[in-house]
Amino acid sequence: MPTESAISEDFEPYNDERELRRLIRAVQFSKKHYLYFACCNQAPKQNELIADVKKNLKGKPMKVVRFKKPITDLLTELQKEVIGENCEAVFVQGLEYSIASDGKGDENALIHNLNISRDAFKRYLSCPLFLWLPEYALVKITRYAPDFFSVRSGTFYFSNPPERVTEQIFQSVSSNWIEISSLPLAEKLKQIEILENLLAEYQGLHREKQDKQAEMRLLSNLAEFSFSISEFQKAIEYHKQHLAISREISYRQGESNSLGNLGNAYLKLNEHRKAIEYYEQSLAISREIGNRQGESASLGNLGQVYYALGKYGKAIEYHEQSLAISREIGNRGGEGTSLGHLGSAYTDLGEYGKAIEYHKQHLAISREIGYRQGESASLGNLGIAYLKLNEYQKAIEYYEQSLAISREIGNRGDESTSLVNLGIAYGNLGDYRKAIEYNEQSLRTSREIGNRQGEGNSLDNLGNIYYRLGEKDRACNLLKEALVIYEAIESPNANVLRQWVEKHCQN
Amino acid sequence: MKTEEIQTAIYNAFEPNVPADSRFYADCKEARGGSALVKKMIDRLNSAKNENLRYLFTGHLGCGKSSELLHLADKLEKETTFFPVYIDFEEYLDKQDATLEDIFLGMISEIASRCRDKFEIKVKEESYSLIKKIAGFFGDFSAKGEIGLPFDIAKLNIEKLRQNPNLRQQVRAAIKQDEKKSLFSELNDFIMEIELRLKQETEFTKLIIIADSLEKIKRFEKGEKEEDEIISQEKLFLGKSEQLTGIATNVIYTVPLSLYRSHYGTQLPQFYGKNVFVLPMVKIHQRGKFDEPFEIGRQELIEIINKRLKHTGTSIDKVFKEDALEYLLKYCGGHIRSLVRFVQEASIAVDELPIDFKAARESVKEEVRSFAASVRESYWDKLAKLESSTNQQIENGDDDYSKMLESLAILEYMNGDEVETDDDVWYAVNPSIRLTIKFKESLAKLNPPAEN
Repeated sequence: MPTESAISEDFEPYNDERELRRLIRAVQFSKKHYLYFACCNQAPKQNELIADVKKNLKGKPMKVVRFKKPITDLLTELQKEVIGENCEAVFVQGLEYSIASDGKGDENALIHNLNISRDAFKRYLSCPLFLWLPEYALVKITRYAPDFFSVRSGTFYFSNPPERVTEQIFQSVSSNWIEISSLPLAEKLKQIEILENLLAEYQGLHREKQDKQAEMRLLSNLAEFSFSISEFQKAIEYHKQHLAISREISYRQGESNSLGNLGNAYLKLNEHRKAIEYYEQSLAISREIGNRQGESASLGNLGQVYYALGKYGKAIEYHEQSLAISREIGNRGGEGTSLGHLGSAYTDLGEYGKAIEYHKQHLAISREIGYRQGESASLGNLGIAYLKLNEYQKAIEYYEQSLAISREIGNRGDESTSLVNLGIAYGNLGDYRKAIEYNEQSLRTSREIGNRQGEGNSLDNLGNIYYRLGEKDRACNLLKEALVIYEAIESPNANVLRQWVEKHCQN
Repeated sequence: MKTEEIQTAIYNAFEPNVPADSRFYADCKEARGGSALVKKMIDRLNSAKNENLRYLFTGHLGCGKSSELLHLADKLEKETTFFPVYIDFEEYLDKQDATLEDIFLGMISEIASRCRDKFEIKVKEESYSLIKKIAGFFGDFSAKGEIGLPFDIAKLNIEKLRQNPNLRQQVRAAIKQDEKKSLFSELNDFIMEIELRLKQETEFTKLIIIADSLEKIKRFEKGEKEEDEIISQEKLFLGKSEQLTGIATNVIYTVPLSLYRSHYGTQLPQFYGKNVFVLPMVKIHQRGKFDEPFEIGRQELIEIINKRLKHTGTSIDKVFKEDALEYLLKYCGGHIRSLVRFVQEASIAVDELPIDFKAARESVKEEVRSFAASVRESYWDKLAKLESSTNQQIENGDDDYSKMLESLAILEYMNGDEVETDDDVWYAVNPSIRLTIKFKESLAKLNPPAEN
């Protein structure tokens, strides 16, 4: 969050020219070492400002140190750079590479070292030191290196000009879900932080300067990143904002997209009715405006809800329709996804040979187009099919491959699914210790991300294992807990489990 | 002088991070008992005779503790028979990774170098095998060919120790290995020898160690174990109090205000006696009444500014427009480092002097924005609660308040000088916090406007 909006509104707004003048005077007047922070979000603008300072103070030797990779100790690095140099000001850029936007600042090595070496700088540097930082990094230093921050002589705040904000939004968003979802977790978190900062800055803009297209791009991007790390509630928030703007400016395609995406998020949260509602609205708009890809996606999505509700025949129907459109318009990603969904439906219908065939096609397409999440899903689904065929070792191999990818890209939802499945496979092999371990991990993950289905499955599995181990009371408690969840989310497993519990768990 | 030269001079006279030397020292006696504290410390030393005194000295970061201690050292050296050894432990310790032995080592080094520089007192190294061994880690001291030098483990070497964790481990291992001697007992033997020499060779009879910056050591962390050697504030001042009070001469320790006001703090007098001195903020407004200035405090802050302006070739009325000065005085909350920084910042916000109201606001704005970014979400309501309270007190056992004292979100005041009891201590929200949106919101939430 930009902190400018956090100060009382009767302060005069920041003004770049004024800040720059102050900064120049600070260089001019400083006769010894002082510490300054210069807050500016973009490196190109930082460069321009530093060039301005140099132009204004011709003849003054000034040194710019730009780090291009993470460092842990600024003092040591600076000593290497400025030793023996005659300079009257040192500008440091690139510290953001060392300050992750995610994670806690108190575990960051650079910040820690800054905090303990606060007084050392003046012993090695007889001229003022300016640290140029994007706002998020400055806030981290304020919070986690308070001693260091407290010895500053001042901070200069430079704005992100409106044209820049929208320009940057267009530059920094990627609308390709396959690319987004395939990024490693750390990269996703970094992107989210950048996008959130941009959004906050955008929201601080004057109304006239706002650009709805840019805002929508930003919102849907944020929603997609949130979805990709299983932050479904957050995704819903962003999609709803996106939906509101689409309606406000009568942008039908955008409206249909956000409706579909809302459906996806609610499906993940097992709110099936809501999901169907959104999907159908989205489908109607896609058909109305002739958006074939949108139509195909909605059909596939509806297939997924019916699948989740155990209506496999209906699910297959929808997926076949969706598949046909994807092939017609040459959408490889959509084609792969439909094939995968069909595979899963056939697994549940007991047609394992057919299922494996579909999943292998899905896997091949995913690898071909570099869709990591599709790759992980198909591997996991292959594992399920082999499990049904009682080929436990093979199943475990597939699950582990799938798990590795989910972890890499931070897809916690799929991670918990793989964990549950590994638990089942080990249970079937009679390795109860491992089975319990995996199910407990999965239970934790599911609870953390609010995946009720996964939570129910893990509890169900744990109950089964304890029953087999003869711990009947413990088993029944777990199974009853699982049943409550299954009923709440209308899982097809609910009936079977209810009957079982009624029969075996009477006190 | 040209305007620009004057501005440059002002800018460099208001350096926020260096304690005031004798040129800049201003005694805020009336508004917080500055020199009264110093006088009291000296009186007690003089009347203590043979007993070694321990003082605890506390106050906010940047409130002027170091300035007072330097002033004290100056007075002691000029007016008493106590030879002061002022140690800025920031030069000796890694605050996150410090042991008791590191502190002893700092004391030995500083005493040795002060006595050598001032009186050319050098001590026989044979009797201090452990110190000699430690000095060996730093290499070529003997090359200088001076007997007695091992004691003077020069600051340059200590710097190495502070920044090099490996070397630190080696030194610690060596101290541990030595079963015959402990660094603690060598320190005490050393102090006794030094004091003997002082009596024989100088006009001084005793030492007084002024251990500054110890309050900057890291706070207690979860998972910290009893047997860990790395000390936190709590562990040092409470857990190691036996050693700290066992040092064979007079010592002043700086303790963190946040620790002193925490539930641990109530135990401190058990170990250190009643000699606890608190340096509060300069009282700048009346208790609980932010808009009613306390004239004496205001004058004392002006005195601080005047002292710093003295060598800049100008005067206060030429530097500030009246409303600008009043604004800075009010919004520094009596915290001296903030005041100094405000003036420094304001001086670059104008093309020409005097500093106007707009420029004054500019410097305060920076502080407001920093607080807005750093105050934790859960603190806002507590800040609003303090603001709305009728007695301006905080809950001493509440860790959040102690963290807010540490970060200066809350400031501590006393009602006058010569205060012995804690009854007259009160608290106020840092004035800059009043200008954040979140604080205003929390306050409004706490005191909803009456419905008509």
